[in-house]
Amino acid sequence: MIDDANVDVPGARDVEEVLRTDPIAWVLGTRLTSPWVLGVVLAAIVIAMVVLGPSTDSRFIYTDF
Amino acid sequence: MRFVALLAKVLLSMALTLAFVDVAVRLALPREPRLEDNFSAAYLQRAICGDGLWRKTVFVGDSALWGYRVAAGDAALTRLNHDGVPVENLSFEGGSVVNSYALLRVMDMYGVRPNALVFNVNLKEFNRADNQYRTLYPALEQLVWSDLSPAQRALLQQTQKPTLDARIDHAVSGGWALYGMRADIREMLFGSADAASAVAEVTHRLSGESARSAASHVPTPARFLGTYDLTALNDANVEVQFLRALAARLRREHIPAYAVLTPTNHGLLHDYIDVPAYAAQLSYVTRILHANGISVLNYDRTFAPDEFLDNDHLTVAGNVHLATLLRRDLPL
Repeated sequence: MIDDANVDVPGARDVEEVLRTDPIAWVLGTRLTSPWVLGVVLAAIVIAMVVLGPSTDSRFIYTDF
Repeated sequence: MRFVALLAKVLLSMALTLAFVDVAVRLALPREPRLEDNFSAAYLQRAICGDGLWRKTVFVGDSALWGYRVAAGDAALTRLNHDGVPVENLSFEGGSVVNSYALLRVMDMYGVRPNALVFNVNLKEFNRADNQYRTLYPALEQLVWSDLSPAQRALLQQTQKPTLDARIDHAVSGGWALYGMRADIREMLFGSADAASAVAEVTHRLSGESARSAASHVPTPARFLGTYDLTALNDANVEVQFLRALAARLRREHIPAYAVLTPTNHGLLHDYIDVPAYAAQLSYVTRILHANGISVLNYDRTFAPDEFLDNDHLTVAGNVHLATLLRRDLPL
């Protein structure tokens, strides 16, 4: 019986190597799964919602002539 | 258990980021030369408490002093500031005597005493049909409402009802600067009430709608029919009552005060206001002011018609003239 885990597939790259050489994979694979980074991302979403949200303020509308 | 620890870390990280941004907003949000046309209660509070008003001459009033339809840098009070004169422009679109009184109360609430106070008196706002009559600007109302006496509150038209979401909104605004000053941040970022309005403005400009609207925006005497109510003033008028209260408070607190009778375009409004009833109204408010030791700067007829954009708003040249007069007439 062949142990799959020990089979070297020709052309396949080591996961650690991928994370080291491909920045997008590095971010998606490690940083976004960090709870600390996830918290920052969620805070950024909240800030964007506050800043970009519609104005609901009951501002005084100057009635021009 | 592992999930709870993960969630705790996420929430902690989020809270720390929001707190960091909050501190940054409090420290770094620029101070504008005048209030934006959609300023928040939090911004007003910051301007009152943080701008060293004790050493400044503070101007409170309406759009005529604020500099309606001229760039902030062209407004008379900004010009004075640029010349090194210590003035603070707390006027705004929608100001009135009622609002000037309320601003003085807010300064009192925060223990701020200006070096001197200048306010304008605009007779059109004594007209019951005027939309500024007995109405506080929403941000100002939010700050001062609970501090007014029940009798004063009864005279005013409340714009923000004390609903549950209004209370939550005020509570969150009080503790979270980014949220509290979101209207000001949007104005600074987009030059408009919000991002959607900014996009709409660009669309209107590109489609030519803005140009068509500006072309139709020509002040003619007919457009001002009914702007001034020349019925004799008396204490039944809410603005008169608050003018008395403002003047009496300034006298009681020994704050040097000056009242500007708003420059008015008599060329445009000749048919309506060049009559004895208008002069009688001016005399009436002047008597109230003098009785309380307030100096009156009567600019009602001081400006030429070509210095106005409409009935009482000054052009850039008009603002230069106003700055010159204020420098001449006030101990700045």
